[in-house]
Amino acid sequence: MTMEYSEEIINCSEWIKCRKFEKVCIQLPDYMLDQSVLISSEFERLLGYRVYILGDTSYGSCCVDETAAEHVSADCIVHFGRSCLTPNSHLQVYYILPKHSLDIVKCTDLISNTFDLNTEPVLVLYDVAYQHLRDSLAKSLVSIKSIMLSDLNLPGHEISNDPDGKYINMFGRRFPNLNYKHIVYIVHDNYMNNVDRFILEKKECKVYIYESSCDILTQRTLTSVIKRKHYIKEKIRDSTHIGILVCSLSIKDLLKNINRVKCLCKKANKKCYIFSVGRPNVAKLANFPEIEIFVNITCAEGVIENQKEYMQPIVNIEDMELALGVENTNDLPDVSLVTNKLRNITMPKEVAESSSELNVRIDMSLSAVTQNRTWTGLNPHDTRPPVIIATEGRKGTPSSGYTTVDSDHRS
Amino acid sequence: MVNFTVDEIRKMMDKKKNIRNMSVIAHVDHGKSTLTDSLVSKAGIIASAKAGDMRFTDTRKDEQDRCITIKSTAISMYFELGEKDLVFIKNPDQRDPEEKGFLINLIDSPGHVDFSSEVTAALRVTDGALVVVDCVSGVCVQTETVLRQAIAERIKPILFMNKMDRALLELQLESEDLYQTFQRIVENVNIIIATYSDDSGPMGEVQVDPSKGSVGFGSGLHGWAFTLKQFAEMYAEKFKIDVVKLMNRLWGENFFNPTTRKWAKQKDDNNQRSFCMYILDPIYKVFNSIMNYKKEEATDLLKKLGIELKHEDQDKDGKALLKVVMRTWLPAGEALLQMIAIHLPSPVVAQKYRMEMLYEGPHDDEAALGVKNCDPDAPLMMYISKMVPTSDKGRFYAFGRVFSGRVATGMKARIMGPNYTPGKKEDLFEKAIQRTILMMGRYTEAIEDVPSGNICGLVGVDQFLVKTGTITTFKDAHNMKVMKFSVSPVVRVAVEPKNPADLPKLVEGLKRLAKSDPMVQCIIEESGEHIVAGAGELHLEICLKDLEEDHACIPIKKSDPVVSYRETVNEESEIMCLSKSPNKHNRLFMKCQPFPDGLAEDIEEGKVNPRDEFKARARYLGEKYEYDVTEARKIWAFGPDGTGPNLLIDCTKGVQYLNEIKDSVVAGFQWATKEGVLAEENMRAVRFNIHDVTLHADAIHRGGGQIIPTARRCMYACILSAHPRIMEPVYLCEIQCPEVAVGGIYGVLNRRRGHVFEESQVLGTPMFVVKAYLPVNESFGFTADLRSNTGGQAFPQCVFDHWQVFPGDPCESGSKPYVVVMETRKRKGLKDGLPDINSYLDKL
Repeated sequence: MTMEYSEEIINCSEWIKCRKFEKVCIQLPDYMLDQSVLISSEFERLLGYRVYILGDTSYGSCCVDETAAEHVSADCIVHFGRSCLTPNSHLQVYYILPKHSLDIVKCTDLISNTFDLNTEPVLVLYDVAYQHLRDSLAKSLVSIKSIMLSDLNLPGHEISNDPDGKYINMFGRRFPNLNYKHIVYIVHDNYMNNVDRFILEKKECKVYIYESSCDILTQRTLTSVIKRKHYIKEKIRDSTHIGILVCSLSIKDLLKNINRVKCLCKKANKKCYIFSVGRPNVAKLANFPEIEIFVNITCAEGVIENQKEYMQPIVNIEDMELALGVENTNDLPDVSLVTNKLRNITMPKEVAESSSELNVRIDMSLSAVTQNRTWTGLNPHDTRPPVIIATEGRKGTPSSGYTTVDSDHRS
Repeated sequence: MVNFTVDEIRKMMDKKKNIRNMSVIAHVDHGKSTLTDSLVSKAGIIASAKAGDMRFTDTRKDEQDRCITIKSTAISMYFELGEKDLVFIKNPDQRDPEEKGFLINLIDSPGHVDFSSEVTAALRVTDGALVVVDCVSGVCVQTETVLRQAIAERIKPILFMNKMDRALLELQLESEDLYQTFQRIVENVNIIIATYSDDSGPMGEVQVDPSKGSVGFGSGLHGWAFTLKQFAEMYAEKFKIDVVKLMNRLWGENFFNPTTRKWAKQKDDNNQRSFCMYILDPIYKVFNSIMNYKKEEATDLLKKLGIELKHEDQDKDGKALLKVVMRTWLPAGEALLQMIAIHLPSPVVAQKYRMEMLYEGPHDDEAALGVKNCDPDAPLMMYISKMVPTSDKGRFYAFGRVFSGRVATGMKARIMGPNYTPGKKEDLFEKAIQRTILMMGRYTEAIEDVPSGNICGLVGVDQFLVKTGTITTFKDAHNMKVMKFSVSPVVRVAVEPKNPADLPKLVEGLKRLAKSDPMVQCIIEESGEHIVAGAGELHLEICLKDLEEDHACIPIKKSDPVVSYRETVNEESEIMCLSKSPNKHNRLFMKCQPFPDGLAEDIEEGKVNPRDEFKARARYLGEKYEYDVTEARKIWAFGPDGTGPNLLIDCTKGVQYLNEIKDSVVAGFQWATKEGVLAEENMRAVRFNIHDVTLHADAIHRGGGQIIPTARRCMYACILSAHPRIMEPVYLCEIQCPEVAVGGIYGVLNRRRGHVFEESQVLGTPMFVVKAYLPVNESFGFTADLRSNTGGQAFPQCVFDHWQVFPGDPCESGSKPYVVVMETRKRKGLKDGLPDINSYLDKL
C-alpha cells in the first residue's frame, strides 16, 4: 500500500530536508490511519528522525490541523488525503493528495464535443484526486481555445506576480479571470462540497458534473438551496443572539472572518458570542438554546451534515453578508416575513440624538433571555433572611446591663 | 347631504354624548351598502359633486365592479332629532341637553365571510351595530357569525329587515305570512343574542324588540323604511293613545276588532292582527294600487296618507312611482337615523362597560379610567384597528378609535404593537404623529385634533405598526386587547415573481400586504417559498391582486391553493417510548395520547391557557375532560410557541433532578410540536406524558445539549407509536338555493368529501338552506362547480369551522393522507419516505 505514495514520500522528504525542518507531523485522514505505521516508518527511514502522526483531527480531515501540530511545536505538516486547500495561517504544509484513475480520453472527448462550437469560455475544474492527471488533461483539452483548465492552488505553486488580477483564486482553485458561462467539474465519488460552493458563488454559470463512472455531463442546480437562502436571510435579520461557531482554527482568514461577523452583528444591533466546541454536533449546540443562529466559520468544504437535526439554523458567512451586509438606508422598522412582526434592524439613533436625557440601553444580552428559565441553579429558593440596612441594637456591658433602644426606632 | 366645515364637525366631536359610532353588519348580499347609501344621501357630511354616486362606501374599483364590499369604510353623518323624538332618549349620558344634533360615524363592512376580519376591525371601533337581514332569506350563517362577534365585543345591535319590496313584489306574501317571517327573524336574532349575552349583563337590554323601536323594516334599494315608532306616531292622534303604548300594541299577539273597537290577545274571526291591519295593510294597498296601475285608487290613497308628489314625479307609474311614493311616505334615512340615535349607545355609555373588554392592564389605572369615562382630558388611548392604503404607495393611514384623551397633529405618542409588554422596549416606538385626519368614504380631511369617543386616521405611524396597535401618551399604559378573528388563514398560495430579478420587489410588496390586511399572513417558509395565507379563495384573490397591482407592482406567478395541515394521534402510544441522550446516560420514558374532544378548541379560545392559575385549570380539566387532577396540575407547557393546543404533562413520581431538566424538555416539546414528525406541520391535540426519567448524577452530563434533542426524539417516537394522523381544516358551508337545485348540491358535495348535516326550507319562501362540512382542501373551485351544477342558482358561503382528522392512515402507502404527507414533504424538501420509528426509539 505504501508503494502508492512512496514516490511522494521521497519527494516530500527532500522538501523537508532542504528546508531543514526538524519536527514533522504527518496528518492522516481516518481511513488511512491503518497505514500510519508504514508511512511514518518510511519517513523515519528517509529523514533519520522520528515523525509525529496526527490522527483524529479536531475539525474536518480536509483541513490542516495546526493546533494539534503545535502541541509538539512542529515545523511542518505533511497532509495526506483529500484537502480543501484553504490557506492556513502559519505552518508549512506539504500536501500528498489521493490519486484516482480517470479515463482521460473519454472525459476530454465528451467535454470537447459538448463545447466544440462554444465561443464563450468554459472553465474545467477537477477533484483533487485527479491532480496527478492534470498535465494529461491539459494536453487533451488544449485543442479547444475556449476551454480553460483550472489549477490547484497548492503551496509552492503560487503565481507570485499577478498584479493585473489575471488569475482568480477561489476555494483552492486558480483559473484565468474570464467571464465564464459554463463550468465543468470533474468530480470523484460524488463528492460535491466544493462543487456546491462554486455553484453558489458563480450563480451566472451553468455548472455541469462529470462523473467518471457514468460518463455523461449532467447539469447540477441548487435551486432548493438557493431558495432556502431567502428564508435564512429573513431568519438572520429576525435574530438578536448570534453564535459564531469556529469550525476550523487553522485557516488564514479566521480572525478576519470572525471580526467581519462581529462587525456585521454590531451594525445590525445584534449580540454575538463566539463558540469553539471542536467538531460541532447536535448535542453540543443544543446546550445553547437561546442562540438563534449559528454562523459557521470554516474552510471551503466544511459542511455540516444532517442540518435538520440541529435546533438552530447553521449559516455561513456569505449568508450573513447577504442578510446584514447591505446598508439599511432608513432606520425604519421592517416587517419580518417569518413572524409577520416588526423588527428593528438598527439602533434607535434618533432617541440618542434628539434628547439630552439619559436613556436606558436596551438589554440585549443573553441574561435577559435566560431569566425565563425555571431552573436557575442549585438552591433557587434562598431561605436566608433578606439583607437589610444595619440598625442600632442594644447598648451596654454585661455587668451594668443593657439599654434597649426604643422598639419603634429599630423597626 | 349635510354641508359641514371641518370646524363644525370638530365642534360636534366634543359633544361626546351625541356621538354614535356604529357598524353595519350582515350576510353577503343582504343590502348593507345600498342601505348605507340611503343614509349617506340623507345625512352624509361633506357634500360634493360626488353625491348621489351609487355604493358610496365601496371605495375601490373592484368593489364597484363586483358589487361586493371588500374593505370596511367609514363615513360620518350629521342628523338632528326633533323635539318629540328627543324624549325617547332617557339616559342623560346619551344626549347633551343643549344639543339636538348627532354625529354618527358609520362603518360599512363586507358581508362575504372571507372578509370577516374587516368586520372584526370595524366592530372594535364602534359601539353599536345595525344588523341587516334580508327578510326573504332570513338569518344566514354570516349574520350569525358577525352578530356573535358583535355581542362578544359588547356591541349593541339593532335590527333592520331589508328587501321588503322583494317580499311583496316577488314572493307576494300574505300580510300574516310576512308578519310571521318578521317574527321568526326577530326570534332567531334574539336567540343568537341570548346565547352570547343576557339582558342582565353590563350592556343592559341587548335583545331587539320591534315594539321598542329597535327593529326597522323596509327596503334599502327603494329607499324607504320604518319602525313601529313612525306608525305609532301616525295613529297616536287618532287613537288618543301615547306613542310608546301604541308601539307595544302594534307588535305581537295584539288583535283589534274594528267593529267592536276592542283589543284582544287572541285571534278570533272578527279581529285582525294589529301589525297587519295598521302597518302592512296600508303598505299593501299602496303597492297594489300602484303596481296594478289603479291610478284613481292610488291618488286617493296618497291623499289619505298625506303624500304630496313633486311635479316631475307625477307622471311616473309602476315601480318608479312606487319608489317615489314609498320614499316620500316613509323616508329610510329618517327612520334609520332615529333608530340609531335613540337605541345605539353613545361612547360615554358604551365605554363604561367596554373598558374591561378592551384594556389589558389593571382596571383602575389612568388609562383604564380614561377609557371608562371617555375622558378627553385623560391620557391618550387609541386603538388602531386597520391600515388603509394611501395614494402614496406603501404608505397607510392608521385607522382607529380614540378611547381616551385626544390625538393631535404633531403630538408625540407611544406606538405599541401587539407584542409590547409594559416596562420592556419590544414593539414600542415613540414618534410624533404627523397628521390627524378624518376619513370619509373616499375622501380625507385634515383635522387639528380628535377627542375621545371618535374615529379617525393617523398619518406617519404606519411604519411602526403591523395591522393593529395601541397609541398612547401614558407611560405605564398596557396594550388594548388584540382583536379575535372568527376566520383563520387556512388557504395558502405560494407566489413568485415572473421575472426572478423582481424578487426584492415581491418581498417588499409582501411586507406591505402583511401590514394592510387585518388577517392575511405573508410568510417565507423554510423551503424559501413565499406564502400568502388567507381565509378563502376570494380573500386570496383580492390580496394577490393588491399585491400585484399596488404593493409589489410586478407580475406574479402563483401556485395552486393548498391548505396547511396539522399532525395528531388517534390512540395512546402502544409502547412506552424510551429515548437515550447522545451520551447514553439519560433516559426519557414517554407516551402520548390524543386530546378529548373540545380541549384543543378550549385552548385556542383561551379557556385553558398557560397563564391560568394551575389549580383552577386542573380542576377545570378534571371536571370537563376527566383528567387526573394531580397530573393536570403538573402541566409543564403548552406548545407550539408556548400557547398552542398540545400539552406536556409531568406524570413522574419522585424523580431526582427533574426540575433541572424541565426547561430542556419543554424546549424539545416546543420544537417537536412546531415541526411534527410526519411532515413538519404543527402538531395539534396531542398530550405528551413524561412517565419516567433517569438522569446522570453529574449535572454537566444532563445539560440542555443532552436533553433537548432527546426529548424531541422521544416525542417523535411517541407519535409514531400512537397511530399518527393528519388533520385538515374544514369549512362550514351554507348554501342557499331553490328546491330544484338541492339535488345538484348533494352531488357536488359528495364528490368533494363534504357532508350535509342540515337541510331546511326557509319558512315562507321557496328557498332551501343546506348546511354542510366541506374540507377546505376540496373547496377550491367549489363555487364555480356548484353554480354549473345548479344552473347558477346556488351560492355557497364557506367559513373555517374546525380541524378534522383526515380519514385514513398516513403510514399506509397509497392512502390519501399518505399522499398528502408525501406531497408536503416534497414541497418542503424533506427526505423521501416516512420517518422510521426506530431512529427515534432506543433499547433499554
